[in-house]
Amino acid sequence: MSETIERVSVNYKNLSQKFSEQTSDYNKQYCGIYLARLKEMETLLRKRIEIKWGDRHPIIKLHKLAEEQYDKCVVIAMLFKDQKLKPSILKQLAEATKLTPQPILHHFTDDSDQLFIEDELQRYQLLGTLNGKNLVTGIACALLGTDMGKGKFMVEDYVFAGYRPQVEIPLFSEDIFVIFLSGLDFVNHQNFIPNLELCIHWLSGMLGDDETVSRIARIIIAGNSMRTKAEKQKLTMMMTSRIVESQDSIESVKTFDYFLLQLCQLVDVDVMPGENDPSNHILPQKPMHYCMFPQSAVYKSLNQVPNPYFCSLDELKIFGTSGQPVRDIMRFSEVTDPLDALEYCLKWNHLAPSAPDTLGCFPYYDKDPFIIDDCPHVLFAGNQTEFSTRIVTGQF
Amino acid sequence: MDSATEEIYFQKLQEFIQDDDKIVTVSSFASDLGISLQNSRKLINKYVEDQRKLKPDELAVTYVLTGILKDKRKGVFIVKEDNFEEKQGLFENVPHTVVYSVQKCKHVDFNVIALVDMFNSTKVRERALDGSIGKSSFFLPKSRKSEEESKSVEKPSELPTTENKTSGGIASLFKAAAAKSNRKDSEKTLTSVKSNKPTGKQNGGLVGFLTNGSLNSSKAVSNSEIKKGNAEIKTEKSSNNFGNEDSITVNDDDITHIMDVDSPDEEHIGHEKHEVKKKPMEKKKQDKKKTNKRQRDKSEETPVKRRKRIVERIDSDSDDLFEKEEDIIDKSDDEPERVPSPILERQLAPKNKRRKAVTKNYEDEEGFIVTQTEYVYETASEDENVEPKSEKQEKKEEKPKPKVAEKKKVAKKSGYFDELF
Repeated sequence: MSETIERVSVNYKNLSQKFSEQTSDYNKQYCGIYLARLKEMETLLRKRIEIKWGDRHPIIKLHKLAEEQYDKCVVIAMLFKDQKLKPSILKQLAEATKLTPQPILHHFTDDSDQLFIEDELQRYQLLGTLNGKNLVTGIACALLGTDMGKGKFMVEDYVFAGYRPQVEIPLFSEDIFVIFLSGLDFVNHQNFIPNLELCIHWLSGMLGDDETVSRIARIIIAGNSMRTKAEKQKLTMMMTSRIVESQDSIESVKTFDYFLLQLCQLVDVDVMPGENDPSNHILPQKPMHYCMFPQSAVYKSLNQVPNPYFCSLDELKIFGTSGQPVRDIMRFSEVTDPLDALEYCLKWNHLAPSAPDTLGCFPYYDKDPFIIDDCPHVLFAGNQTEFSTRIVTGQF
Repeated sequence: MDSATEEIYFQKLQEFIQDDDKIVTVSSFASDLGISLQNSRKLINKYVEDQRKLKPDELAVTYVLTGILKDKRKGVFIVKEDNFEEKQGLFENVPHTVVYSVQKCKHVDFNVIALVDMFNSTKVRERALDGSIGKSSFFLPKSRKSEEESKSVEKPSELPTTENKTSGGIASLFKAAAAKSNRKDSEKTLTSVKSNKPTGKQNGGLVGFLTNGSLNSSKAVSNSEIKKGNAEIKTEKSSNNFGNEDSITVNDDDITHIMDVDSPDEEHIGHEKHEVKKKPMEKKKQDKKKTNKRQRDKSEETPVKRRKRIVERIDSDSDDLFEKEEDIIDKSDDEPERVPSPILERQLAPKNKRRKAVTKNYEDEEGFIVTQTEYVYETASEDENVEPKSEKQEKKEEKPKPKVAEKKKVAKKSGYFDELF
């Protein structure tokens, strides 16, 4: 009786295992992740150095710069941006005890910001052509310059890790679509019920447009499904404050579950946790527990995935986050366009360079999972002010 | 669709709109009559055309326009008839137009129209509407019974998988429990999954947790009756024929969160540990009796003539000393009542037999005569509905007996009156 149109099917692989593999060991210092990052990036940077400058200049460790005098040399190190306005635990304590009132800031750049380079043993202040306004702490780079003495290094040229080699983008015989949703904010769902209903009806094909709808292969919900803004909490002397879950939050989870139920009956759905979703706060965020979604969790079309999330659809690689790394880059640099921030991430070959300095992350000590070792075809970031896209091409 | 059926549907539509003054949308009409979206759309379109010829101004219709906008973005608009042309002008080409809703009342409110189809717990559909664009493999048949009984246990691959390794055991446990929702309620196993519609019986912590939503069960987590380990899961396994042994090794803490649902049947979950007949376990049992006791007291709020009884006694003018003793006796009565055979009996219960509560008197260590309610299995009747009623009747019958038993114990302190009973 009913003429059911079948939705397009693609071969799906979840490649996010490395974001789910952390143990619950929080006893390690954060320096370990920087060391691991520098070590892995050094290999890649040496190739970039060879391509850009050849063998003309020696590659020297920072602690050996003062020992021998070089006219020009190349150093491989990690950037550190010393920012006066960067949030500090001492400032938070001062505010809590009300000793010194602190201004509320949303952007932490200042003209007095200074760049340093660091490796395992040494630190040098940077002078020269490297503009630190669009840079953040945690970027591995190679610098060509001269030691000025007194802990200062004059930069003449620089190179970042750049784009990784990319598997050739697969060719599809027909258009296949992936829908990205983010910031659904189900705490306030009563304000946009008609929109949600319309979305579901459109996806079901009820509103016509069968040609387009039948070629939608997947929906990726990129975080902040429950809330887009954190619940307000009182500042206390205790730095570990607890927020009691409000009834609104609980109801929003329930409503989201029923929304997912209707979606899962129609299309594959990947649900990522966001900054304000019930998951762990630091990156990588674990998938939201399916106890919270009793109605929809029984459908195999529902996938709870971590943040960051990396997947492959018929060999087309899609990689992205719920927006925290991009937002953090924009807060601590002069980058204003999220697409620029994403492009820089590809250039720096790192998804979240400001972690763990200003972006909370797990204290890895033997690896850095945020390094983009497999260049995706699509890089996305959720929870931005507007939707926009750009096609970029790597240099190497 | 033959003409007779079509005529019936038209009449239904007429009834909804003209008589009931309802807002009818394509999806709600398809859902109510169990027809496909395409047929629903055709019927509504035809109805609107016919009505417009007869009475042009009677109906208020909303439309959905779909197409490419002039700024090259995709647009999907729901519009009233008044601003239909205005919205149509936003599109690059003529947009695809579909009737969305029909109503008699002239005042159109999109929020009200959205409420017609709004996703909520009372209108949960197990599968997408007929005619929806989807994959047939998405549907996990919760409501199928006989077919899934033979297959569901064997198909863990159909169940959703998770990438989270640490919760893999819990994942499979939940999904196994969810698959079990296909079984009949009459089985009444510990992990029988509830249907989405609330039923009179609430069986199993996993069931209640999954189908009632996380809200109620999350509240009950803090009052979890049991700290069970493998014993419970083993019992579930034996009664439910789950083949996935890996799920048995879930941590106790996880299970406690799962297994906590306030219902009378849940009370007996704690007693499954008596399967493990080891002496060292007895101490644990005793400890757990205490924990169970407190939790049971809380959970006993619902079935509760016992609680009422206690409250009445507290409120009564009788001697406080005796009241306390009675409470102690009640509690001591409860302990042996709770502990024994119901667990064993549940595990060993064949399908065709029902449990019957039988009171037995015995003398405990302190010399008090204790009346204990034990459950004995008898041949069950064919009518499943009789069982809960019969159990309730038995429970009612039991209630006066413990009262009598408590009186006996009180009397025993002053003198032995057990010969009266």
